[in-house]
Amino acid sequence: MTLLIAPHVVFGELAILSFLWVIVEVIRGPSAAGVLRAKVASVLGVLAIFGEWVLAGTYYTVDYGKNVKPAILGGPWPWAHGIFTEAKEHIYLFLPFLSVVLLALVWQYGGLMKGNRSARFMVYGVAGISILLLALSAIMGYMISNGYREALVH
Amino acid sequence: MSQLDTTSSGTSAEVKRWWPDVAAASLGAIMAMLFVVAITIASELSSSLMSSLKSMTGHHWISKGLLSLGVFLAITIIAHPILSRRHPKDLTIWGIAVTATALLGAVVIILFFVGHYLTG
Repeated sequence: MTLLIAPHVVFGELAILSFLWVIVEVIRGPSAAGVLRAKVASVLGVLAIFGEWVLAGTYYTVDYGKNVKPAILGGPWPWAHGIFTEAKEHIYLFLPFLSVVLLALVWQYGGLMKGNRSARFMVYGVAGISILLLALSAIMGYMISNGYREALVH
Repeated sequence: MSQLDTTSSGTSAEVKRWWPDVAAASLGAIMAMLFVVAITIASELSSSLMSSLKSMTGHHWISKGLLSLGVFLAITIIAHPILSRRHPKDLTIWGIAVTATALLGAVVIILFFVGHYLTG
């Protein structure tokens, strides 16, 4: 089950890259080809987020609670679970919905992005906050891993 | 690829599509994120609610995920036929609403767990 940690990180990074790709295509004031690439990126983002949800959720519910959580809580960094795991597992639940909003936005307004500033700004907002939350999740994951390492060492 | 044609009134003609209307999806996402914040805090403060969530699927987090997904789907599906007729040209309000809800929701969750941990 601990082998699921790496794939869940990979899917998270893929999601960040997908959302960044959408932003880049829209910033360039998309041509027809750019709109198509943005649409592909938005679909990849949704797949990455839902894939990560399943992978991370499996690891979290099967292995983390039984083996990692007790160690962290009994170690010198109990706040690694009390704050970071708790916050991360709940904030992550925003991302599937944000990814679908971005997909709907790109597919519905893709051809109009060039002349529609509000649609472009919505892309920057939704994709931007998604990237921010994913980056935050990565940082929190790092703190959780360190909390486990500290518990094992001490 | 289907495109939307903008009329002189600023609305767009209906086209065939497989994706949800962006306004409907935005409303669904906002309600789902608010639900996540509410049930997260409520379940931490109420052991009976936490037990109910655990007994639903075997794990409270799975229950919260499925319930929030249900909220998102229900709101989006109900709102889609109503909001898809409008095709607003200006998405400023939706953009601000979705982004702000996600940002503030994350801040509230973090602050709650910091406070919850510090107060034991």
